[in-house]
Amino acid sequence: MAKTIMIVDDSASIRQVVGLTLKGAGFDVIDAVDGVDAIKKLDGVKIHLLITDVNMPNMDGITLVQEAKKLPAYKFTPMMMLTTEASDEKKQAGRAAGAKAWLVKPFQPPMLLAAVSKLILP
Amino acid sequence: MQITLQNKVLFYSLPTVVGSTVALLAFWSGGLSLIHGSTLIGLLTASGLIVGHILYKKMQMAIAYNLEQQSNENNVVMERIKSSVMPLEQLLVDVLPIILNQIDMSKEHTEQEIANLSERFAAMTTKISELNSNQAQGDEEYSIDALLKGSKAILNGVTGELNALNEAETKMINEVRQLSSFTEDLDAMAQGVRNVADNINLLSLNAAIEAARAGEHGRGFAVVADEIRNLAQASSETGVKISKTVNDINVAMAATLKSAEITSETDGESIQKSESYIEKVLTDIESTLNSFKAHADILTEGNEQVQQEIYSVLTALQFQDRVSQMLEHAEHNLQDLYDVIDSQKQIALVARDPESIQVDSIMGKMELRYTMPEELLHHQASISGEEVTAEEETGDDLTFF
Repeated sequence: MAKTIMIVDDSASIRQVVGLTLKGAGFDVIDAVDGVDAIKKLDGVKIHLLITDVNMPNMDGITLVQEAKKLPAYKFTPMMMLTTEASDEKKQAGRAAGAKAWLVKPFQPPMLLAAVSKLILP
Repeated sequence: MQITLQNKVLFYSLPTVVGSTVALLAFWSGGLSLIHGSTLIGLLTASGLIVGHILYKKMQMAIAYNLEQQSNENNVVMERIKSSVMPLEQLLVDVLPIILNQIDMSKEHTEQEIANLSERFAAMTTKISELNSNQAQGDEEYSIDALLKGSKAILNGVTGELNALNEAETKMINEVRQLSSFTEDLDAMAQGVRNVADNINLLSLNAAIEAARAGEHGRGFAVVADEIRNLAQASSETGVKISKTVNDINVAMAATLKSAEITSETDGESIQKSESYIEKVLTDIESTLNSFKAHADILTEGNEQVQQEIYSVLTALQFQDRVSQMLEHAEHNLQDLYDVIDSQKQIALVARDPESIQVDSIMGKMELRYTMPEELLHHQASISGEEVTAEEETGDDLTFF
Protein backbone atom coordinates (compact mmCIF):
# COMPACT_ATOMS: atom_id res chain seq x y z
CA MET A 1 0.00 0.00 0.00
CA ALA A 2 1.32 3.42 -0.99
CA LYS A 3 2.50 5.70 1.83
CA THR A 4 0.89 9.11 2.26
CA ILE A 5 2.72 12.44 2.41
CA MET A 6 1.15 15.84 3.17
CA ILE A 7 2.55 18.89 1.33
CA VAL A 8 1.89 22.33 2.83
CA ASP A 9 2.85 25.35 0.70
CA ASP A 10 1.06 28.57 -0.28
CA SER A 11 2.68 28.41 -3.74
CA ALA A 12 0.61 26.32 -6.17
CA SER A 13 3.62 25.68 -8.41
CA ILE A 14 5.68 24.29 -5.52
CA ARG A 15 2.77 22.05 -4.47
CA GLN A 16 2.59 20.76 -8.04
CA VAL A 17 6.33 20.11 -8.40
CA VAL A 18 6.55 18.36 -5.02
CA GLY A 19 3.36 16.40 -5.75
CA LEU A 20 4.62 15.31 -9.16
CA THR A 21 7.97 14.16 -7.75
CA LEU A 22 6.35 12.18 -4.93
CA LYS A 23 3.55 10.67 -7.01
CA GLY A 24 6.16 9.61 -9.57
CA ALA A 25 7.93 7.72 -6.78
CA GLY A 26 4.71 5.94 -5.82
CA PHE A 27 3.50 8.03 -2.86
CA ASP A 28 -0.04 9.28 -2.22
CA VAL A 29 -0.14 13.05 -1.68
CA ILE A 30 -2.44 15.39 0.30
CA ASP A 31 -2.19 19.17 -0.41
CA ALA A 32 -2.69 22.07 2.00
CA VAL A 33 -2.24 25.80 1.30
CA ASP A 34 -1.13 26.91 4.81
CA GLY A 35 -0.81 25.77 8.42
CA VAL A 36 -4.48 26.27 9.25
CA ASP A 37 -5.58 24.31 6.18
CA ALA A 38 -3.09 21.56 7.07
CA ILE A 39 -4.38 21.17 10.65
CA LYS A 40 -7.94 21.07 9.28
CA LYS A 41 -7.06 18.37 6.73
CA LEU A 42 -4.97 16.25 9.12
CA ASP A 43 -7.95 15.46 11.39
CA GLY A 44 -6.61 12.00 12.32
CA VAL A 45 -5.78 11.06 8.70
CA LYS A 46 -2.82 8.66 8.63
CA ILE A 47 0.23 10.30 7.04
CA HIS A 48 3.79 9.00 6.93
CA LEU A 49 5.53 12.37 6.41
CA LEU A 50 4.66 16.08 6.51
CA ILE A 51 6.56 18.47 4.22
CA THR A 52 5.93 22.15 4.90
CA ASP A 53 7.02 25.60 3.76
CA VAL A 54 8.03 28.07 6.49
CA ASN A 55 6.64 31.46 5.38
CA MET A 56 2.91 31.11 4.79
CA PRO A 57 -0.18 33.21 5.57
CA ASN A 58 -2.52 32.33 8.48
CA MET A 59 -0.09 29.88 10.11
CA ASP A 60 3.61 29.51 9.32
CA GLY A 61 5.39 26.18 8.95
CA ILE A 62 7.25 26.22 12.26
CA THR A 63 4.02 26.87 14.17
CA LEU A 64 2.33 24.12 12.14
CA VAL A 65 5.03 21.60 13.17
CA GLN A 66 4.64 22.66 16.81
CA GLU A 67 0.84 22.35 16.65
CA ALA A 68 0.88 19.04 14.78
CA LYS A 69 3.36 17.56 17.27
CA LYS A 70 0.89 18.37 20.04
CA LEU A 71 -1.68 16.06 18.41
CA PRO A 72 -1.23 12.46 19.66
CA ALA A 73 -1.71 10.98 16.15
CA TYR A 74 1.23 12.98 14.75
CA LYS A 75 3.58 12.99 17.73
CA PHE A 76 5.96 10.56 16.01
CA THR A 77 5.26 11.55 12.38
CA PRO A 78 8.47 12.79 10.70
CA MET A 79 8.26 16.40 9.47
CA MET A 80 10.47 18.24 7.01
CA MET A 81 10.77 21.95 6.20
CA LEU A 82 10.98 22.89 2.51
CA THR A 83 11.70 26.61 2.27
CA THR A 84 13.67 29.44 0.72
CA GLU A 85 14.90 30.31 4.23
CA ALA A 86 18.48 29.20 4.79
CA SER A 87 19.55 30.98 7.99
CA ASP A 88 20.90 28.91 10.88
CA GLU A 89 18.56 30.70 13.32
CA LYS A 90 15.49 29.57 11.38
CA LYS A 91 16.88 26.06 11.04
CA GLN A 92 17.38 25.85 14.78
CA ALA A 93 13.81 27.12 15.30
CA GLY A 94 12.58 24.35 12.98
CA ARG A 95 14.61 21.75 14.84
CA ALA A 96 13.30 23.00 18.18
CA ALA A 97 9.73 22.76 16.86
CA GLY A 98 10.29 19.07 16.02
CA ALA A 99 11.29 19.03 12.32
CA LYS A 100 13.69 16.26 11.28
CA ALA A 101 15.10 17.80 8.08
CA TRP A 102 15.46 21.14 6.30
CA LEU A 103 15.64 21.40 2.49
CA VAL A 104 16.24 24.77 0.81
CA LYS A 105 14.23 25.59 -2.34
CA PRO A 106 14.64 25.30 -5.25
CA PHE A 107 15.32 21.59 -4.97
CA GLN A 108 16.27 18.89 -7.47
CA PRO A 109 13.64 16.08 -7.45
CA PRO A 110 16.27 13.37 -6.65
CA MET A 111 17.39 15.38 -3.61
CA LEU A 112 13.81 15.55 -2.30
CA LEU A 113 13.33 11.81 -2.84
CA ALA A 114 16.62 11.07 -1.04
CA ALA A 115 15.42 13.11 1.95
CA VAL A 116 11.99 11.44 1.90
CA SER A 117 13.44 7.92 1.74
CA LYS A 118 15.64 8.68 4.76
CA LEU A 119 12.72 10.03 6.77
CA ILE A 120 10.17 7.33 5.92
CA LEU A 121 11.25 3.95 7.20
CA PRO A 122 10.57 1.14 4.71
CA MET B 1 17.72 91.44 14.32
CA GLN B 2 16.59 92.61 17.75
CA ILE B 3 17.83 95.83 19.48
CA THR B 4 19.12 94.80 22.88
CA LEU B 5 19.08 96.88 26.07
CA GLN B 6 22.82 97.49 25.78
CA ASN B 7 22.31 98.86 22.24
CA LYS B 8 19.55 101.10 23.47
CA VAL B 9 21.81 102.51 26.33
CA LEU B 10 24.61 102.94 23.83
CA PHE B 11 22.39 104.92 21.43
CA TYR B 12 21.21 107.24 24.18
CA SER B 13 24.43 107.53 26.21
CA LEU B 14 27.01 107.97 23.45
CA PRO B 15 25.84 111.43 22.12
CA THR B 16 25.08 112.51 25.70
CA VAL B 17 28.59 111.56 26.88
CA VAL B 18 30.15 113.30 23.83
CA GLY B 19 28.13 116.53 24.49
CA SER B 20 28.86 116.43 28.25
CA THR B 21 32.58 115.77 27.66
CA VAL B 22 32.89 118.73 25.22
CA ALA B 23 31.07 121.06 27.73
CA LEU B 24 33.25 119.85 30.61
CA LEU B 25 36.45 120.37 28.57
CA ALA B 26 35.30 123.95 27.71
CA PHE B 27 34.45 124.62 31.34
CA TRP B 28 37.72 123.08 32.59
CA SER B 29 39.82 125.21 30.23
CA GLY B 30 38.35 128.25 32.03
CA GLY B 31 36.69 129.72 28.96
CA LEU B 32 33.24 129.49 30.51
CA SER B 33 31.65 130.65 33.75
CA LEU B 34 29.88 128.18 36.04
CA ILE B 35 26.48 129.26 34.77
CA HIS B 36 27.47 129.19 31.17
CA GLY B 37 29.37 125.94 31.65
CA SER B 38 26.40 124.31 33.42
CA THR B 39 23.97 125.58 30.77
CA LEU B 40 26.25 124.30 27.99
CA ILE B 41 26.59 120.92 29.67
CA GLY B 42 22.81 120.77 30.10
CA LEU B 43 22.22 121.78 26.48
CA LEU B 44 24.81 119.42 25.07
CA THR B 45 23.54 116.54 27.24
CA ALA B 46 19.95 117.27 26.12
CA SER B 47 21.13 117.50 22.49
CA GLY B 48 22.98 114.19 22.93
CA LEU B 49 19.82 112.62 24.32
CA ILE B 50 17.75 113.93 21.39
CA VAL B 51 20.34 112.85 18.80
CA GLY B 52 20.60 109.45 20.53
CA HIS B 53 16.80 109.06 20.47
CA ILE B 54 16.61 110.01 16.78
CA LEU B 55 19.43 107.61 15.93
CA TYR B 56 17.79 104.86 17.95
CA LYS B 57 14.42 105.30 16.24
CA LYS B 58 16.07 105.28 12.82
CA MET B 59 17.94 102.17 13.67
CA GLN B 60 14.74 100.58 15.01
CA MET B 61 12.92 101.41 11.80
CA ALA B 62 15.74 99.99 9.68
CA ILE B 63 15.70 96.77 11.69
CA ALA B 64 11.91 96.54 11.48
CA TYR B 65 12.18 96.99 7.73
CA ASN B 66 14.87 94.32 7.48
CA LEU B 67 12.79 91.94 9.58
CA GLU B 68 9.80 92.48 7.37
CA GLN B 69 11.91 91.86 4.31
CA GLN B 70 13.31 88.70 5.88
CA SER B 71 9.86 87.51 6.81
CA ASN B 72 8.63 88.11 3.28
CA GLU B 73 11.55 86.16 1.88
CA ASN B 74 10.91 83.36 4.37
CA ASN B 75 7.30 83.24 3.32
CA VAL B 76 8.33 82.96 -0.32
CA VAL B 77 10.77 80.14 0.50
CA MET B 78 8.13 78.44 2.60
CA GLU B 79 5.63 78.69 -0.20
CA ARG B 80 8.22 77.25 -2.57
CA ILE B 81 8.94 74.37 -0.17
CA LYS B 82 5.23 73.80 0.24
CA SER B 83 4.63 73.90 -3.47
CA SER B 84 7.39 71.35 -4.06
CA VAL B 85 6.98 69.03 -1.03
CA MET B 86 3.20 68.84 -0.98
CA PRO B 87 2.81 67.72 -4.60
CA LEU B 88 5.69 65.27 -4.07
CA GLU B 89 3.94 63.84 -1.04
CA GLN B 90 0.66 63.78 -2.92
CA LEU B 91 2.37 62.09 -5.86
CA LEU B 92 3.86 59.41 -3.62
CA VAL B 93 0.57 58.88 -1.81
CA ASP B 94 -1.19 58.52 -5.16
CA VAL B 95 1.47 56.47 -6.93
CA LEU B 96 2.49 54.02 -4.20
CA PRO B 97 -0.93 52.28 -4.00
CA ILE B 98 -0.86 51.97 -7.81
CA ILE B 99 2.61 50.39 -7.73
CA LEU B 100 1.48 48.12 -4.89
CA ASN B 101 -1.54 47.00 -6.89
CA GLN B 102 0.56 46.45 -9.97
CA ILE B 103 3.12 44.38 -8.03
CA ASP B 104 0.30 42.38 -6.52
CA MET B 105 -1.31 41.86 -9.92
CA SER B 106 2.03 40.86 -11.51
CA LYS B 107 2.66 38.45 -8.65
CA GLU B 108 -0.76 36.86 -9.09
CA HIS B 109 -0.38 36.59 -12.88
CA THR B 110 3.11 35.14 -12.61
CA GLU B 111 2.05 32.65 -9.99
CA GLN B 112 -0.99 31.61 -12.00
CA GLU B 113 1.00 31.21 -15.23
CA ILE B 114 3.84 29.37 -13.50
CA ALA B 115 1.28 27.08 -11.89
CA ASN B 116 -0.21 26.42 -15.35
CA LEU B 117 3.24 25.78 -16.80
CA SER B 118 4.14 23.45 -13.94
CA GLU B 119 0.86 21.60 -14.46
CA ARG B 120 1.57 21.18 -18.17
CA PHE B 121 5.13 20.03 -17.59
CA ALA B 122 3.89 17.69 -14.90
CA ALA B 123 1.35 16.23 -17.35
CA MET B 124 4.15 15.82 -19.92
CA THR B 125 6.40 13.93 -17.51
CA THR B 126 3.47 11.70 -16.50
CA LYS B 127 2.81 10.91 -20.18
CA ILE B 128 6.49 10.19 -20.80
CA SER B 129 6.65 7.95 -17.72
CA GLU B 130 3.61 6.06 -18.98
CA LEU B 131 5.18 5.68 -22.44
CA ASN B 132 8.45 4.43 -20.94
CA SER B 133 6.58 2.05 -18.67
CA ASN B 134 4.50 0.67 -21.60
CA GLN B 135 7.65 0.36 -23.66
CA ALA B 136 9.39 -1.59 -20.90
CA GLN B 137 6.34 -3.81 -20.42
CA GLY B 138 6.19 -4.41 -24.21
CA ASP B 139 9.86 -5.26 -24.26
CA GLU B 140 9.30 -7.76 -21.50
CA GLU B 141 6.21 -9.33 -23.06
CA TYR B 142 7.39 -9.37 -26.65
CA SER B 143 11.08 -10.02 -26.35
CA ILE B 144 12.58 -10.32 -29.83
CA ASP B 145 14.77 -13.23 -28.80
CA ALA B 146 11.82 -15.15 -27.36
CA LEU B 147 9.67 -14.38 -30.39
CA LEU B 148 12.34 -15.57 -32.81
CA LYS B 149 13.11 -18.63 -30.72
CA GLY B 150 9.42 -19.58 -30.67
CA SER B 151 8.97 -18.98 -34.40
CA LYS B 152 12.12 -20.94 -35.17
CA ALA B 153 10.93 -23.87 -33.06
CA ILE B 154 7.54 -23.95 -34.82
CA LEU B 155 9.05 -23.71 -38.31
CA ASN B 156 11.75 -26.26 -37.46
CA GLY B 157 8.92 -28.56 -36.38
CA VAL B 158 7.27 -28.09 -39.78
CA THR B 159 10.51 -28.83 -41.69
CA GLY B 160 11.16 -31.79 -39.35
CA GLU B 161 7.75 -33.22 -40.27
CA LEU B 162 8.46 -32.65 -43.97
CA ASN B 163 11.83 -34.40 -43.58
CA ALA B 164 10.11 -37.31 -41.81
CA LEU B 165 7.66 -37.58 -44.71
CA ASN B 166 10.58 -37.53 -47.14
CA GLU B 167 12.35 -40.23 -45.17
CA ALA B 168 9.15 -42.34 -45.14
CA GLU B 169 8.94 -41.91 -48.90
CA THR B 170 12.60 -43.03 -49.33
CA LYS B 171 11.90 -46.02 -47.08
CA MET B 172 8.86 -46.91 -49.19
CA ILE B 173 10.97 -46.61 -52.39
CA ASN B 174 13.57 -48.95 -50.89
CA GLU B 175 10.86 -51.41 -49.94
CA VAL B 176 9.39 -51.22 -53.48
CA ARG B 177 12.90 -51.72 -54.86
CA GLN B 178 13.27 -54.77 -52.61
CA LEU B 179 9.88 -55.99 -53.84
CA SER B 180 11.05 -55.80 -57.45
CA SER B 181 13.90 -58.20 -56.56
CA PHE B 182 11.19 -60.69 -55.52
CA THR B 183 9.54 -60.41 -58.98
CA GLU B 184 12.80 -61.62 -60.52
CA ASP B 185 12.51 -64.73 -58.32
CA LEU B 186 8.89 -65.06 -59.44
CA ASP B 187 10.01 -64.80 -63.07
CA ALA B 188 12.68 -67.49 -62.46
CA MET B 189 10.03 -69.66 -60.79
CA ALA B 190 7.70 -69.17 -63.81
CA GLN B 191 10.62 -70.11 -66.09
CA GLY B 192 11.13 -73.22 -63.89
CA VAL B 193 7.40 -74.07 -64.28
CA ARG B 194 7.78 -73.70 -68.07
CA ASN B 195 10.86 -75.97 -68.09
CA VAL B 196 9.03 -78.59 -65.96
CA ALA B 197 6.01 -78.34 -68.35
CA ASP B 198 8.33 -78.79 -71.38
CA ASN B 199 9.94 -81.82 -69.77
CA ILE B 200 6.49 -83.24 -68.88
CA ASN B 201 5.40 -82.56 -72.46
CA LEU B 202 8.46 -84.50 -73.73
CA LEU B 203 7.71 -87.26 -71.26
CA SER B 204 4.03 -87.38 -72.35
CA LEU B 205 5.17 -87.51 -75.97
CA ASN B 206 7.48 -90.46 -75.19
CA ALA B 207 4.65 -92.08 -73.21
CA ALA B 208 2.30 -91.71 -76.22
CA ILE B 209 4.93 -93.29 -78.50
CA GLU B 210 5.38 -96.10 -76.05
CA ALA B 211 1.56 -96.48 -75.75
CA ALA B 212 1.21 -96.73 -79.53
CA ARG B 213 3.93 -99.30 -79.62
CA ALA B 214 2.05 -101.31 -77.00
CA GLY B 215 -0.99 -101.40 -79.32
CA GLU B 216 -4.36 -102.22 -77.78
CA HIS B 217 -2.91 -102.59 -74.36
CA GLY B 218 -1.42 -99.20 -74.51
CA ARG B 219 -4.61 -97.37 -75.55
CA GLY B 220 -5.57 -96.33 -72.02
CA PHE B 221 -2.04 -95.23 -71.29
CA ALA B 222 -2.14 -93.23 -74.54
CA VAL B 223 -5.19 -91.32 -73.23
CA VAL B 224 -3.37 -90.60 -69.93
CA ALA B 225 -0.26 -89.53 -71.84
CA ASP B 226 -2.40 -87.20 -73.95
CA GLU B 227 -4.02 -85.66 -70.86
CA ILE B 228 -0.58 -85.23 -69.29
CA ARG B 229 0.60 -83.42 -72.42
CA ASN B 230 -2.45 -81.14 -72.28
CA LEU B 231 -1.66 -80.42 -68.64
CA ALA B 232 2.00 -79.77 -69.50
CA GLN B 233 0.91 -77.34 -72.22
CA ALA B 234 -1.47 -75.63 -69.86
CA SER B 235 1.32 -75.41 -67.26
CA SER B 236 3.68 -73.97 -69.86
CA GLU B 237 1.08 -71.37 -70.89
CA THR B 238 0.52 -70.47 -67.21
CA GLY B 239 4.32 -70.14 -66.79
CA VAL B 240 4.37 -67.77 -69.81
CA LYS B 241 1.43 -65.83 -68.35
CA ILE B 242 3.19 -65.61 -64.98
CA SER B 243 6.38 -64.39 -66.66
CA LYS B 244 4.37 -61.79 -68.63
CA THR B 245 2.51 -60.65 -65.52
CA VAL B 246 5.78 -60.46 -63.54
CA ASN B 247 7.27 -58.48 -66.42
CA ASP B 248 4.25 -56.16 -66.43
CA ILE B 249 4.61 -55.75 -62.65
CA ASN B 250 8.30 -55.04 -63.08
CA VAL B 251 7.60 -52.37 -65.68
CA ALA B 252 4.91 -50.80 -63.46
CA MET B 253 7.18 -50.97 -60.43
CA ALA B 254 10.09 -49.44 -62.35
CA ALA B 255 7.80 -46.59 -63.49
CA THR B 256 6.47 -46.14 -59.96
CA LEU B 257 10.00 -46.23 -58.52
CA LYS B 258 11.24 -43.70 -61.03
CA SER B 259 8.32 -41.42 -60.35
CA ALA B 260 8.71 -41.87 -56.59
CA GLU B 261 12.46 -41.26 -56.81
CA ILE B 262 11.87 -38.06 -58.83
CA THR B 263 9.21 -36.94 -56.32
CA SER B 264 11.48 -37.79 -53.39
CA GLU B 265 14.36 -35.90 -54.97
CA THR B 266 12.12 -32.88 -55.68
CA ASP B 267 10.68 -33.07 -52.16
CA GLY B 268 14.20 -33.16 -50.71
CA GLU B 269 15.23 -30.13 -52.75
CA SER B 270 11.97 -28.35 -51.81
CA ILE B 271 12.52 -29.08 -48.14
CA GLN B 272 16.12 -27.84 -48.38
CA LYS B 273 14.93 -24.68 -50.16
CA SER B 274 12.16 -24.22 -47.58
CA GLU B 275 14.69 -24.52 -44.78
CA SER B 276 16.93 -21.94 -46.39
CA TYR B 277 13.91 -19.63 -47.06
CA ILE B 278 12.75 -20.02 -43.48
CA GLU B 279 16.27 -19.23 -42.23
CA LYS B 280 16.44 -16.16 -44.46
CA VAL B 281 12.99 -14.93 -43.47
CA LEU B 282 13.79 -15.42 -39.79
CA THR B 283 17.12 -13.58 -40.22
CA ASP B 284 15.32 -10.74 -42.01
CA ILE B 285 12.66 -10.56 -39.30
CA GLU B 286 15.36 -10.62 -36.62
CA SER B 287 17.26 -7.82 -38.32
CA THR B 288 14.07 -5.76 -38.80
CA LEU B 289 12.97 -6.34 -35.21
CA ASN B 290 16.45 -5.49 -33.95
CA SER B 291 16.29 -2.30 -35.98
CA PHE B 292 12.88 -1.53 -34.40
CA LYS B 293 14.32 -2.29 -30.99
CA ALA B 294 17.27 0.01 -31.64
CA HIS B 295 14.83 2.77 -32.64
CA ALA B 296 12.69 2.05 -29.61
CA ASP B 297 15.79 2.19 -27.39
CA ILE B 298 16.76 5.56 -28.92
CA LEU B 299 13.18 6.74 -28.34
CA THR B 300 13.27 5.54 -24.74
CA GLU B 301 16.61 7.23 -24.18
CA GLY B 302 15.23 10.40 -25.80
CA ASN B 303 12.15 10.22 -23.57
CA GLU B 304 14.34 9.90 -20.50
CA GLN B 305 16.42 12.89 -21.58
CA VAL B 306 13.27 14.96 -22.19
CA GLN B 307 12.01 13.93 -18.76
CA GLN B 308 15.28 15.05 -17.17
CA GLU B 309 15.02 18.36 -19.05
CA ILE B 310 11.47 18.83 -17.78
CA TYR B 311 12.68 18.11 -14.24
CA SER B 312 15.28 20.86 -14.71
CA VAL B 313 12.56 23.22 -15.97
CA LEU B 314 10.39 22.36 -12.98
CA THR B 315 13.33 23.10 -10.71
CA ALA B 316 13.88 26.42 -12.47
CA LEU B 317 10.18 27.28 -12.17
CA GLN B 318 10.52 27.05 -8.39
CA PHE B 319 12.35 30.37 -8.55
CA GLN B 320 8.91 31.91 -9.01
CA ASP B 321 8.34 31.13 -5.33
CA ARG B 322 11.47 33.10 -4.41
CA VAL B 323 10.50 35.98 -6.73
CA SER B 324 6.99 35.97 -5.31
CA GLN B 325 8.34 36.27 -1.76
CA MET B 326 10.73 39.07 -2.79
CA LEU B 327 7.82 40.96 -4.41
CA GLU B 328 5.77 40.46 -1.27
CA HIS B 329 8.56 41.93 0.85
CA ALA B 330 8.90 44.82 -1.63
CA GLU B 331 5.14 45.37 -1.30
CA HIS B 332 5.37 45.50 2.49
CA ASN B 333 8.33 47.91 2.30
CA LEU B 334 6.43 50.18 -0.09
CA GLN B 335 3.39 49.99 2.18
CA ASP B 336 5.55 51.12 5.13
CA LEU B 337 6.85 54.01 3.01
CA TYR B 338 3.27 54.92 2.08
CA ASP B 339 2.16 54.86 5.71
CA VAL B 340 5.01 57.20 6.72
CA ILE B 341 4.28 59.66 3.92
CA ASP B 342 0.53 59.53 4.50
CA SER B 343 0.89 60.21 8.21
CA GLN B 344 3.33 63.10 7.57
CA LYS B 345 1.04 64.57 4.94
CA GLN B 346 -1.65 65.12 7.56
CA ILE B 347 0.67 67.46 9.52
CA ALA B 348 1.47 71.03 8.37
CA LEU B 349 5.07 71.48 7.24
CA VAL B 350 5.90 73.97 10.00
CA ALA B 351 4.43 71.70 12.67
CA ARG B 352 6.31 68.57 11.70
CA ASP B 353 8.67 66.94 14.15
CA PRO B 354 11.95 65.93 12.49
CA GLU B 355 12.22 63.08 15.00
CA SER B 356 8.89 61.54 13.96
CA ILE B 357 10.48 59.64 11.04
CA GLN B 358 12.79 56.99 12.47
CA VAL B 359 14.77 56.06 9.37
CA ASP B 360 16.97 53.49 11.15
CA SER B 361 13.95 51.84 12.72
CA ILE B 362 12.14 51.61 9.36
CA MET B 363 15.23 50.20 7.63
CA GLY B 364 15.69 47.71 10.48
CA LYS B 365 12.08 46.58 10.12
CA MET B 366 12.70 46.00 6.40
CA GLU B 367 15.81 43.93 7.16
CA LEU B 368 13.88 41.73 9.58
CA ARG B 369 11.31 41.02 6.88
CA TYR B 370 13.79 39.41 4.45
CA THR B 371 13.93 35.65 4.25
CA MET B 372 16.55 35.18 1.52
CA PRO B 373 20.25 36.02 1.78
CA GLU B 374 20.25 37.89 -1.54
CA GLU B 375 17.57 40.30 -0.27
CA LEU B 376 19.70 41.20 2.73
CA LEU B 377 22.76 41.45 0.51
CA HIS B 378 21.05 43.94 -1.85
CA HIS B 379 19.61 45.95 1.06
CA GLN B 380 22.99 46.30 2.76
CA ALA B 381 24.79 47.04 -0.51
CA SER B 382 22.21 49.73 -1.23
CA ILE B 383 22.90 51.40 2.12
CA SER B 384 26.69 51.19 1.86
CA GLY B 385 26.70 52.15 -1.83
CA GLU B 386 28.79 49.12 -2.69
CA GLU B 387 28.19 47.02 -5.76
CA VAL B 388 26.50 43.68 -5.24
CA THR B 389 28.91 40.85 -5.93
CA ALA B 390 27.81 37.85 -8.02
CA GLU B 391 25.30 35.80 -6.10
CA GLU B 392 26.01 32.21 -5.32
CA GLU B 393 23.53 29.57 -6.43
CA THR B 394 21.22 28.88 -3.54
CA GLY B 395 18.86 25.99 -2.92
CA ASP B 396 19.04 22.20 -2.79
CA ASP B 397 20.76 22.43 0.61
CA LEU B 398 19.62 19.50 2.76
CA THR B 399 20.15 19.35 6.54
CA PHE B 400 19.06 16.51 8.80
CA PHE B 401 18.52 17.15 12.52
